[in-house]
Amino acid sequence: MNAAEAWAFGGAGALWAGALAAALLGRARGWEEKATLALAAAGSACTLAGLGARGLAIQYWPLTDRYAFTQAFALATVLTALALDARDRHRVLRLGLGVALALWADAQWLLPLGLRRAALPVPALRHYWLPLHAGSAAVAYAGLTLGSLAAVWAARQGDGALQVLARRAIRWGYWWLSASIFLGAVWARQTWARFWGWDPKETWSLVTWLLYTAWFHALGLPAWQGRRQAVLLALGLAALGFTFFGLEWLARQVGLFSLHLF
Amino acid sequence: MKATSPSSPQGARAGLEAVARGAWRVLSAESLSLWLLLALAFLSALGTLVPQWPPSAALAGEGAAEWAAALEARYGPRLASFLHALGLLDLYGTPLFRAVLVALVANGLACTLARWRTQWRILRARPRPAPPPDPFPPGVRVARVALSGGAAAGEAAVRAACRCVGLRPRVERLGEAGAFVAERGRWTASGTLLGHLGLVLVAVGLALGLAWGERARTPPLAGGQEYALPWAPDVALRVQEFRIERYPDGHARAYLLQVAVTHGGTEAVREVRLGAPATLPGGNLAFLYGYGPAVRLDVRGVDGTPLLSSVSQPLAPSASLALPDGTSLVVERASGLPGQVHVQRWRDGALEAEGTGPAGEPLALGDLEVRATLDWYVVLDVSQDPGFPWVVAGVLVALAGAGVALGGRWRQVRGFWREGELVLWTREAGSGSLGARAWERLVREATLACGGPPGEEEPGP
Repeated sequence: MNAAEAWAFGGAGALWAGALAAALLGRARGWEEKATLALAAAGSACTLAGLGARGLAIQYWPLTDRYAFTQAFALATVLTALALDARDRHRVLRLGLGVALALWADAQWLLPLGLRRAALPVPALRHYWLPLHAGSAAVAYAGLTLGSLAAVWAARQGDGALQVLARRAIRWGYWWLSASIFLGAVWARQTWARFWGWDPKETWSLVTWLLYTAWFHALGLPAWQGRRQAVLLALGLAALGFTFFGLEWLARQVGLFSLHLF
Repeated sequence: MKATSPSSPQGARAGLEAVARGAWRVLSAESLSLWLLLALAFLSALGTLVPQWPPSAALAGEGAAEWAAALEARYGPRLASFLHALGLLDLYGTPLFRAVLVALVANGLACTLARWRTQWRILRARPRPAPPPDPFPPGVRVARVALSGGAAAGEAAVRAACRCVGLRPRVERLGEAGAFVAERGRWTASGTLLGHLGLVLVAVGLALGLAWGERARTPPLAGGQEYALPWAPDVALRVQEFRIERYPDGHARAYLLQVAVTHGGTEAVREVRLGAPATLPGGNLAFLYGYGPAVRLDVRGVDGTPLLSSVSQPLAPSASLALPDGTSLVVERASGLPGQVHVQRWRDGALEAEGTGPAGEPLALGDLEVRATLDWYVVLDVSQDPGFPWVVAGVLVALAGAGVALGGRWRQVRGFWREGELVLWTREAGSGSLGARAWERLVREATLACGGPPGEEEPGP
C-alpha cells in the first residue's frame, strides 16, 4: 500500500468516525446535522480517492482484492445511507456509518497483511466484467446489509417510516445482487465456457439471493407476516455475512477450493 | 340442479377437473415458491460443506482417482464412502436437488401464467371515473372534504390538489356532480411478472443448452496440430501460435492463441484469449482452457537432409515421435538443467542413443541431428450452446422486470364531488396506493382549494 492510499483510507476512517460521533451526540436539526453530512461525504470522497490511488498503483481497476472490495463495500454503505437518510433524522446514516466503520476496521486491522497489498489480477480476471461484477456486488452488499439491519431495528421499535426506508434499501440491494450474479455467470461463460460452477462463493451468493427472494414472496403472504419475515431477513443477512467473512474460514476447514478466495 | 353420481362419467370428469384445478392452485401458489426457495437455499448451502466432485475432472475423465484418493486421505475411507453413498459428493447432480430446481421453474411458469390475465387486464383497462362504492371495500383510505360552490368549484379543487402531488386527473362530469381518476405508473405493476418471465426464459435457455448443446475438451494441441469438432467434423482448428504477454516483473498479463479455422474449403485465422472465446462457423465457440510446455522438433540426417521439420508435440511430461526409419525419439526437459532438453532414440524397444543439450541448438544423435525448441501446447474447450441467446434475453428481461417492480410504483387516487362534498379515496398500502405523505398533501390542498372548513378523514373499513 503506498502513502497516498494509506492517507486516503486512514483519513476516511477518521472522518467517518467523526461523522458518527456528531450524529450520535448532536441534535437532530443543529449544526451537528451539517457536520455529520459533511464528514460522511468527505470520508466517502477519501475512500474514493484511496481506491483511485490503488487503481493507479496497479494500473488497473482497483476491485481486484479483498481489501479494496471491503473498502468499496464500506463506501457503498455510507453512500446508500446518505441517499436514504434525507428525511430520516440520521437513524439510517448512523447505522450506515457504524457498518462502514466496522468494515473499515476489518480491512485496516484484521485482514492479514498479505491481503492488504494491491496486486494485479491473474489473466483470467483481467476483463471489463470484473469491475461490473465486483462493483455491483459491493453496492448489493451495502443495500442488503443496511436494509436488513434497519428492518430488524424498525421491527423492534415498531417504526413504520424506518421500515419503509429499510425495504427501499433491500429492494435496491436485491436488484444489484441479481445483477452481480447474472453478470458473474455471463463472465464465467465467456471465460470457462460455463455459466455456473458451484464454486462455494457463488453458491453462497445464490443462497443469499434465494433467501431474500423468499423474503419478497413472504411480504405478500398473510401467514408470513411479522416475526417470520424478520427471521427470513436475519437468515439472509447471515448468509451474506457468511459469503463475505465466513467462507474463507470454511474453505480452510474442509479444504474447499474457490476461485473467489484471494 | 342436476346431481351427478361420482361413479358416472360426468362425475368422474368433474372430479378430475377439481383435482386438476386444485393441482394448478397448488403449483401456482406463492407459498409453494417460498418453500421451494428455502429448500433450494438449504440444499445449495449443504453442498458447500463437503467437497464436490470437480466438473473439470468429470468432463476430461482425468484426475478422478487422484481426487478420490485426496478425499479419502482427508476424511478417511469410511466417512468418504458414507458421503459418497448419501450423494453428498455430487449433491448438485442428485435427483432430489434437480427435482427441487425443476419444481421451482414449473412454479415460476405457473405463477406467470396464472397472473398474466389479471396483470394484462390491469394494464389494458383504463379506469373510468365513477361514484364511490358503497360501502368502501377493506384496505381503502377515504377523506371527505366540505365543498363550497358548484360542480366547477369541485373540478377546480380536484385539479389543484392532483397537481400538488404530481398527478393529472381524468374528469367526467355527471350533471351537477363529477368524478375523477388520477394515476401514474400503472405499468409498473407488470414488473414482477416480467421478472418471472425473464427467469423462465433463463431456465428455458439452460434446458436448451443441456438438451441440444455440445461441449468437448480437446487433447493437448501443439503448434500445427489439428482438431475437428466431434459434432461438426467439417469444422477443424489448427493451432498456429500461442504466446504469453508479460509485465516487466515477469507476471503473465495475457494469454493469446491464434488458430486457423477450416470450414468448407476455406481457412480463416481467429484469436482466442482467456475470457474472449473465438467464434467458429455454425455457432460454435472455442475457449482457451489451459496450456503447457511443448517441444518443436527439426530432424535432419548427417548430410543435412530434412527428415522431419517443425513437428510440435506436447511435453506432458515427455514427447514421443516416430521417424520414417522405424526408430522413435523421446524428448523431455533435462532434469535440473533449465533450458536444456534430453533426447533419446529408441529402436525396437532398445535405447540406441541419447543426448542432452540447450533447447534450440542442434544435438547429434547417431546419424541424426535433432533441434528441439521449447514451445507451448494448449487445451481448448469447444462448445455449441443454442440456449445462450435465450439466457441473455432472459437475464435482460428479468433485470428490467425487477427494476420496474422494485423501482417504480403504481399510484392511484379517485374522487367524486357533488354539492357540498368532495370524497377522495386511495388504497391504504401496496400497489395502487398514493402513499401516506402524498395523501396528506392531497387532502390538505383539496381542503384549501374547496374553501370550506377542514373535512374529516376516515380510516379504511
